[in-house]
Amino acid sequence: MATRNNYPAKIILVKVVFFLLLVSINSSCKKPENAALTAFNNFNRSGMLTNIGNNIIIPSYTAFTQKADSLYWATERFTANPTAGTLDTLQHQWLQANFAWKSCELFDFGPAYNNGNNNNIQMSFLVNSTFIEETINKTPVPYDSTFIPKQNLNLDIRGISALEYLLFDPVNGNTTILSNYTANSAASSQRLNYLLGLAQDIHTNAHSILTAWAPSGGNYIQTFISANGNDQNSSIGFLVNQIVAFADYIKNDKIGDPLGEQNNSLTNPACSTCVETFYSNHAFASITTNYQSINNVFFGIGNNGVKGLGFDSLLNVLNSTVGSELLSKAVQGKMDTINIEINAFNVPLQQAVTSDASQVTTLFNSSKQLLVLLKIDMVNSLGVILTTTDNDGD
Amino acid sequence: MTAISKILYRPVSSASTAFFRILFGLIICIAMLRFIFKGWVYDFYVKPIFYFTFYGFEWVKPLPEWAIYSLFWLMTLIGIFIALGFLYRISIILFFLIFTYIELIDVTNYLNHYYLVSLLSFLMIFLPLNSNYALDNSIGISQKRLSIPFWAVIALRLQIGVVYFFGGISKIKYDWLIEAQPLKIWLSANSHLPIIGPLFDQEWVAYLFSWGGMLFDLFIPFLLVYKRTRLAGFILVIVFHILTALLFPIGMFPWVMTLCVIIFFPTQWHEKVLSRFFSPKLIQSPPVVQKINTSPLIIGLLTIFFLIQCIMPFRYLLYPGNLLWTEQGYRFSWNIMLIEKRAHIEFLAIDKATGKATIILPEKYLTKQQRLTMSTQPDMILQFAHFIRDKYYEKGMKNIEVKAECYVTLNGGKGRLLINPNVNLAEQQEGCRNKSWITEYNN
Repeated sequence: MATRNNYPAKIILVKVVFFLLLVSINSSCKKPENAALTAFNNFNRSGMLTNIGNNIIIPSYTAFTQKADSLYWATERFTANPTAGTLDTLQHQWLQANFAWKSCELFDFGPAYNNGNNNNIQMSFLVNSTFIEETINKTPVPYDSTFIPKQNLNLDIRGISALEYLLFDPVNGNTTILSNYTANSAASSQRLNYLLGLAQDIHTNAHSILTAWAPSGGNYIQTFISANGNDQNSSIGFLVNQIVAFADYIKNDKIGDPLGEQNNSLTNPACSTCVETFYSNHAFASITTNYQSINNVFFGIGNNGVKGLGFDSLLNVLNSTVGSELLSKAVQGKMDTINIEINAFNVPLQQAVTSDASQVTTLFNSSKQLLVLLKIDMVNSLGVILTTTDNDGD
Repeated sequence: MTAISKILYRPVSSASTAFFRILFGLIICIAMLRFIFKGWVYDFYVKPIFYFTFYGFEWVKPLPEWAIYSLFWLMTLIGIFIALGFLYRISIILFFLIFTYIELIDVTNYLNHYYLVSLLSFLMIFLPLNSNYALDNSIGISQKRLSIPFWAVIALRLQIGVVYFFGGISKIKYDWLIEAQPLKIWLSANSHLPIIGPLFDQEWVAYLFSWGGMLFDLFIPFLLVYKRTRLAGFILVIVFHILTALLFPIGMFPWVMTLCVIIFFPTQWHEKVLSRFFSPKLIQSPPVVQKINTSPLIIGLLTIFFLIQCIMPFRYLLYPGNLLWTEQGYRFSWNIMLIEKRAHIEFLAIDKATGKATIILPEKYLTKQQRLTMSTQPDMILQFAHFIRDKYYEKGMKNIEVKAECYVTLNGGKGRLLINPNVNLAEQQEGCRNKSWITEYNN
């Protein structure tokens, strides 16, 4: 019975498969080759990743690590001898480190993400000041400078934002800051130790990221360059995912929240304490630096200013357009607009959200338009699937 | 007529449907455990603060956490009962009710294959699946019968066949056949796979899969029914589902379908397999050969049941525009894997009295899964807009406009607005009427 059935079944199977093949091949031959898929395959993706990795990411981490070193040394000098002069130097070093970090914030993937270094350095720009004060004044806690990793300190009371809170006072100024450290009390000495601990923690995390990327260390750069597909776990997938998520974050958290656009109250109270760098008051400069880093990755502009292969090059060979304009041109245009709009402010963001709310709203809308270009048009052209949900079918 | 009824009432071995019942019960059991241990019960039915309802089923509400978990554990147990053929009728009725209730809680979780599970379990209520190889026979709840009327087997085959056949019909579309989309996008995401990976960068492979998939779905029920092509058909089923399981994140349903297809095997085959697993004593216990009386009412009911299923896939023709874009009449139609959409959506609430506006980010109210699903489906967008409207309404602000700015790309096309951003969604009605505020999709 079974043997009688097997023979025709095999023949039919072969026929069916052959038929399917024939139909499919015919149908694909009738159509001209899909230019985009071929262009994507022919594009020098490893070259683009080499450029972005070697000329943007590693130099950015190198710069941040240097600033983190200087920050740590300045903190050592200040804690050994807290004076107006050493405080001034330390504040200057903090600003340098902060801006250097603003160029690295985008790269929240790979070892920096996996090892938690990014979150250790800055999980959020909003500071939990009450919790910081509680932690400092908890007694008796002998703080030596390595207490932070040892005690696995909460992320919202460590990193560069916590350090900012301890170094800047927007209301009372440096005199008050300094007096907190020079009181010669248990509290002031704990505060000094806490400060040094924070600086050392940042310094440790910075070195850990750089080592993980460096060819002489973990050599993640090699992994980064060789994962040149467009799947979710490819480097292009990571970068695109980060660019989109980061542009979304800047728009919502760094501009939208201070503006009060998203508090669902319809009374729109601006939130001046929601701005980034609330204590040192450099929100616009931080945002500009963030956008600059997106810009550099998108256009493949190295930290030395030399333009190499970037996403614009890839999108151009894919002939991605928005309306009649090249997508890369549209992104460039929107980046320029945002820069012009930020530069037009005469007051810091925390003032502008009340005094020039309509101007900030304009900036918010531009940042939204940029986001749509990146999240919808760029992602679409690259054919990257950003979110595959784990479920049971379709 | 007599010829048809002769076929329908032809006595066939009851092993066939018993085989199906055992597989179905085991699948349910595994699927429910999987749901619990993957954390989906929490993610889908406990965590959300807002649920998207099906039109006409707004009254379906989620139960508290402990009750939802209990229901999933109960369904796991019922799965075992069904496999054992223990208290079969009450078990399958309970399963149908609980499972369908769970599926009705949130549109977000709609999957064609969950719909199939609901349909199958409803159908199984009316089939004598505990006639043989069932505990019910031993404890005297139902009499053991060696044969059952053929219509019971036909009904199951029809239900499985419907999914493939209409799945095939729904693939006869411009995007699927001429553009090979969304397979081009999805397959190229697999180019990192070893050995076969580089194939997925080839355009012809996307066309092969698109056309092959369409033809497979259309013809596989017939290949399986026809004796001489059945084995070939089953081999194709296995190859097809292994490929889909490998390439797409679609969980256990490739395996479910493969197992369900076994109902197309000749009834003697099921008997042979089952008799190997069960002691001869169980089989040789005195059988009752008497005919099961089939009420014409049941045959009538099942006819309507299948007729509805044949009409549902075509209701989209009542709506203007591109089905893949508007998704009006998309669900319950075996439109499987036809869409890859990406979207960005923001809502704007405007106080008409003061003209003040605020942006509402759906992130604040929806889970990621809900947000992703909602952002591409107009009826869900409308529901969320009404949710915003009602929130303000509760605060005493009764004069609120809600608008949505929603950019969507469909199957690799250009990003464009899905709905008219100037329309006040707070005023729009939910329902089956055409949603005129969905934009037209022009290529």
